Amino acid sequence: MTAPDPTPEDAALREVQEAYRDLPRAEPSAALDARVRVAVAAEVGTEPASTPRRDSRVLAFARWRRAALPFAAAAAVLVAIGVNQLEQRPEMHYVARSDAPTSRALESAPAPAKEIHEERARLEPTPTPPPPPAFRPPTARAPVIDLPVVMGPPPAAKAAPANEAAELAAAQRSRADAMSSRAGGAMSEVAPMAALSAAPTASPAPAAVATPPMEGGATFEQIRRLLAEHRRDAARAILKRWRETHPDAPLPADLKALETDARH
Amino acid sequence: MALYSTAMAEPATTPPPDSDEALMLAFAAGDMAAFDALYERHRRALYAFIARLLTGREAAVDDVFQDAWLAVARSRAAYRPTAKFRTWLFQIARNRSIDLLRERRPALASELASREDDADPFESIADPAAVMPEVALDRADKAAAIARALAALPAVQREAFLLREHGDMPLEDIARVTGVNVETAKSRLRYAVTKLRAALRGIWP
Repeated sequence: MTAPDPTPEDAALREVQEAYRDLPRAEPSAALDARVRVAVAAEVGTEPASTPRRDSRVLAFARWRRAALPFAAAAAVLVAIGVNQLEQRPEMHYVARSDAPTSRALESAPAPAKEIHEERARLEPTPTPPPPPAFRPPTARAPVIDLPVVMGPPPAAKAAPANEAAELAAAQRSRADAMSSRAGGAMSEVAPMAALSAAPTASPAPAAVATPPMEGGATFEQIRRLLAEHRRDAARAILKRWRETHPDAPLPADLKALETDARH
Repeated sequence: MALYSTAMAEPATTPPPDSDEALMLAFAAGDMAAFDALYERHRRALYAFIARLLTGREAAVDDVFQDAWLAVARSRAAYRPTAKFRTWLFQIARNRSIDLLRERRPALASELASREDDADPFESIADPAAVMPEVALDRADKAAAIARALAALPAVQREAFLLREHGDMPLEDIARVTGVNVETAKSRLRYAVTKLRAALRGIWP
């Protein structure tokens, strides 16, 4: 089957078309293509299919960002309220502190504040006043019993008579013996030192050296003075305290009755 | 198919896959890839048609082109494959062009929208500056001559020729797009071709 011969009209149209197709043809620009695709996608409500698809994480982030906007706004409001309250709170605190009763206005303060102040004063450790001076005997002799063992005799002891120096040395020796007996061998070297420290003062008294003093001689003298002053209770207390540290030491005969009395 | 053939194949109820109509139905169902395929197929022809139809108003070509595709998108739900997609697309572009011309050149718009055939097409040449050379023999000169002659054609004749050339439409489709009967479409096309051929031979105008 052959094609029909072209009519003169068809030949004329073909000639015109051939010439027309040599004309440069306008084409839509890439920008126009993109604009059309975006406009159509917006019209349809989807994304342009030719654009690179964003991965799921990006889309999820975009959805989260859209959803996060209301949350962000709410969070901003909460933060603003919080900051506002924080700004107001120091003022309230300052007012309360400035109105608090001071120690000067304590007497005029209401009862609860006064009670609190008294309770605090009772609980808080107050600075202790300096202790009263230790009891010193009327004589110039130092209280040998209260001195540390290693300490040398006070200067006043140098002026003491020889028999008193001998008693002082004996008292220190007895105290050192008692401590060494409690501390065992650790203090075994301390007692000779105490004796040596006391020895120079006792050396000018040869009589005292010849007759060894009884242990607790100074204490006994103190007790005797108290008895002479009719302060029997004080004497008994001192004797009792001495006996606690010298359980086996012999007691002078004139003080045995006092010890018997102290036991009862 | 003869150049002046009136044969027009009506699309089947179920268009073959990968046809324009099937793609349009897919796009109506939300498939943007189908739209991209349609766009890629027809973007050059439609743009060239609008650019020639609106000769001298290049600034409006992009807007008409975009509006035409937007109208396709907006009308996608109402689309029925009773006519060829290409015919429908060019008809939309033509209507947009007339809308634009109504705003800027009402006389030209009314000419395009007229359903009456011209009594004397040679008297309705709009562009007096379209001076035809007396002799145009080589190929480049022929192209330049036909460009000037096309611009000098009456709008309805130019439109008929452009629909035939860019839309690859038979007379029935040209008649459908322009809203005239087939004989009127055939007459417009014949006048257009005669003048353009005369221009190529340097005898018009």
